[in-house]
Formats: sequence, C-alpha cells, structure tokens
Amino acid sequence: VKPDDVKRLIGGYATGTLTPAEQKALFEAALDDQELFDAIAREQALKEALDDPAIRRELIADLTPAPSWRERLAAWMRPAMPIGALGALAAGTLGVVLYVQNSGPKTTEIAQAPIRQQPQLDTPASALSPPAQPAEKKSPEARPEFTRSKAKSPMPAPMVQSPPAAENRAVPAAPIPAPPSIARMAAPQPAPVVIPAPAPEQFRTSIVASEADTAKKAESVNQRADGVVGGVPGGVVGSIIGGAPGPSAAMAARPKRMVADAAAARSLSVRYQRQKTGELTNLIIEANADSIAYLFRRGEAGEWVAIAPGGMSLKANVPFTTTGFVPGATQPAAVLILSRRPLSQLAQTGSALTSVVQEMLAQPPGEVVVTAVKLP
Amino acid sequence: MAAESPITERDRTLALLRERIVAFAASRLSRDVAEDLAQEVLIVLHEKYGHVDRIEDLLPLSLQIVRFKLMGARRKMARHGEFAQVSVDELPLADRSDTEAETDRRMTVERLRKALPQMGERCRQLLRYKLEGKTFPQIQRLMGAASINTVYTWDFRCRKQLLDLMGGDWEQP
Repeated sequence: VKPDDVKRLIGGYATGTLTPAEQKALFEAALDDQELFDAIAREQALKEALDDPAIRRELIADLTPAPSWRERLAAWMRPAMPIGALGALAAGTLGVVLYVQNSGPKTTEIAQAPIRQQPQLDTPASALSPPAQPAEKKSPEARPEFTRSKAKSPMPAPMVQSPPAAENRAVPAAPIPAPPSIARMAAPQPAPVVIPAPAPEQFRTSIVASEADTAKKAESVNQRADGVVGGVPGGVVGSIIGGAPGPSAAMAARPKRMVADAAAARSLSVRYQRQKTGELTNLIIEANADSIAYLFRRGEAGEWVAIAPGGMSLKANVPFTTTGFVPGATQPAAVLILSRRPLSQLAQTGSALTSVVQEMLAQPPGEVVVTAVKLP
Repeated sequence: MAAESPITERDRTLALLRERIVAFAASRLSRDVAEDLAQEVLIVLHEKYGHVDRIEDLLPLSLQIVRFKLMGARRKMARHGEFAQVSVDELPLADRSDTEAETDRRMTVERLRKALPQMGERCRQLLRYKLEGKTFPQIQRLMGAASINTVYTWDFRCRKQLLDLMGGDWEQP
C-alpha cells in the first residue's frame, strides 16, 4: 500500500474489510499521523456497532436491492421446475412416439363392396348363373372373349340380366372382411377407397354362361322357343357353363321375361319381354338408361328389316312396347340393338343393313348392346 | 544498581500510542484529563493485555479502551466535580455489554439506516460487500474495478458521503 493510499484505507477499519497487510500499513501510519489516528479513533464507535452480527444483517438487508419481478417469478417457480421438466419430458416422449408411428409406410384402408348375386327375375339366380368371382381372383388371361355365334341352339332360356357395373357400385354393401393382405395394410385414413365392383367381364361371363346353359337345358326339355341371347362362345366359357345348373321345365314354361346382358356397355343394359297378340309379337323393352333401341326382324330371305326405322327412344327404367311384327322362322328371329346415341349405319336398308347388323352381332360387346332375340 | 531493561518494539509502539491518545483525548477533554486518560489506557494494556505486542492488535485495543475511558470521564464530569478517574477494576472489557454503550450503538445504527437510502447505488453496493466481510481485493473483482486503488477511492468517497449524511460524526453529536 502506497503511503498516499493509506488514508483511503480508513473506510475499511470499521467494517473489518482490511487485510492484515492493509491493517498494518494503516495503523503504522496512524502512529505517526495524529490526524489519521483521530480519524481511526472516531471510527471506533461505528466499528463497535458493526461488530454485532445482528446489526450487520439488518444493514445488509437494507442494502440489498429488491428482487425484480423476474427474479421473484423464478424463485416462485423454482420448486415446480422438476415437475415442469418431467411434464416436458413426457410430452416430448409422446410426441416422438406419435411421430415414429406416423412416419412409417402409409397404408390404405380399403372397403370392399360385397359381390351381390344377380337379381332374379324368373329363375333363381343361383340356378342360372354361377356365383360371381371376386375380381382379384380373375386374371386378365381368364377373361372370355366374346364372339357371338349363331350356331348355338335357339332354344329359349330365361335370361337373367346381370346388374350394371355402375349400379353394382352404387349398392351400399355390407362390409365384408378384407383379405389378410388388405387387412395388414389397413391403417387410419381419412376416406376409405372403395374397390370397384367386379369387372363387367365377370358379369358378362356369368350371364353368358347361364344363358347358354339355360338354352341347352330348355332345348332338351321342351324345345321351347324363348328369348335367348345368341352367339355364346362356348369354347371360352365352357367350363363355367358346365358348372351352372340349368332351369327346370316348369321354370322354362313360365312366362319369360328375357333379359339381355349389357355389361359390354358398362352401365347400359336392357331387358325385354315377349308379348304375343294373335299373329303379331311385341317386345316390351326396358333400359336402365336413356337410350335408343333398334329392333330388326328377319325377313323372308333372311335379311334384316327394321321394325322401327330410325330407332325407338327409351327412357330410363320406363317400359316401351314395340310395334308388333311376325317373327320369321329363322332364328334368331329378331335383333335388338341398344345405344346411347343414334347409330346412323342402322338407317340403311336392304343388304347394307343386313351386313351392318350381322357385323354388329359378330362384334364383341362394346358401347352398343346387341342382343339376338329368338322367338318361336 | 539495577540495570535498565532494554527498550522493546512494544515499548516504542506504546509510547507513540500514548502521544496519539493524549492528543485525541485533549481534543475532547481538558489536557490534564487527557493525560490521565492516556495513562490509564496504558496501565490497562500493561496489566491486562501485556501479551499483545503487534501494532495490528495494540491500536484497536487501545482505541477501544480510550472510548470506554472517555465515556466514563463524561459520566464523572456529569456528576459535578468528581474526578474523571475510572478504576481498572471497573473498566469494562472490550466485548463487555454495557447499557449506555448499547444505547449509543443502537442510535448510531438508526442514524446509519436513515442515511443509507440517500447514498448512491455504487456506495450501497460497496458497503454491502464490506458488511458481508469481503476484502478490498475481492470487492475489486466483484465490482469490476480496474485497480485496487479505484476501490480505495470509491470507499473513501462513500465513507465521506455517509459521514456527511450523519452529521460529520458516527456518534450522536
């Protein structure tokens, strides 16, 4: 301590702040400096007061600044901090778990509509058509190729029309258990994806099979001529045909309401019923959608003649009675063509019309429903 | 003829202390009373604290004895004519509690507590560190002072400010 600084140490005497070296310097200086000694002596009263620990505590409390609101808040929250930390840890863990669960491969929940049996009109569907197969079980290679042929028996057979695909889709089906593979993929999704109904080809297959089978059975029983969809490719659907039970004679004798399959037209289908008045025969046609129906009868020379030139406009699900005509001896006696739009090629006459109709009969099902009508 | 004992460092320190005590007491009492008071202080130091020889111990002890002697002298003077002499047996020890001294102490503290709020923040902080028992080097680090002399200067000015706020003396004038 420099001699000039010694006097400044006097403030530390009363509070006991001085180090031993500072004390020695101050006191030695005080022995030689009366003024310094007097100052130290005057500090004695304060020193005796500050030597009391209780008084010191009082003064320290007075000199300690009040804690700010942040410090008070921190002091108030300090006891709850462990609880808060545990809560934050739990929340974080939960968040990680949820994130891990949701970050896995996304799965799709699929609700599959049940495959519904064909509505039966005259004959139990189970007796006419084989049960529909699930779509996933049918490979593309197994789809039958439709080549209509007129070589088949013209025997009447009650036909059951398979419901259109669109109608099938619209049916609110009861849920069926998903296949295991699908069930494994199931996971929470906002909107289930509805599997489309069995492909139209399936219906087509079953219906054609039942038609062909029905025709065979009916031919053996009664040789009754009734409405039959002609041109069944037996080679393609033969196995299915064999498995389908045929109708009984009583069933075949009942008034037939013949139904044509319109699966090829996707959602377009038509059914018709024969009505005979004297020598004339009428067809009561009912389509499932607004469409145009063309009806042709077989002429004397085997040509096709338009019964209603220009076609007949059908309203959806509204029966329409055609003009009466005398069916020819050659089967099929008539051809019913249904289309959503006018077919200009059917406005022809004579051999041109015959060629067009024959060509359409031979074509596979498409947008136009072509049905060969066999009449007695 | 007995040989004189050698003059020790303690004797030289006590001689200097006597001079300082006489001068200090004379500023408050009469010269004769101050001479007697200093003599009584030295007798106490010799008889009761003969083992104390360091200046760091002798000076605070002597100042404490001086204070009590002054208080006794004032009491005797207040009794009109009694001689301001206090026997060694009646002299209180340094840590002895005394009602009058306690009262003076409490009054000093009350005046101090009233003066503290009027001080600046730095002086308050400095005084708080001192009361907490921290040394000047520690205070220098705590307050971020550039040097120890800065702390000395701060403390000297703060002490003067506080003393002024209390009327120029720690004790009741």
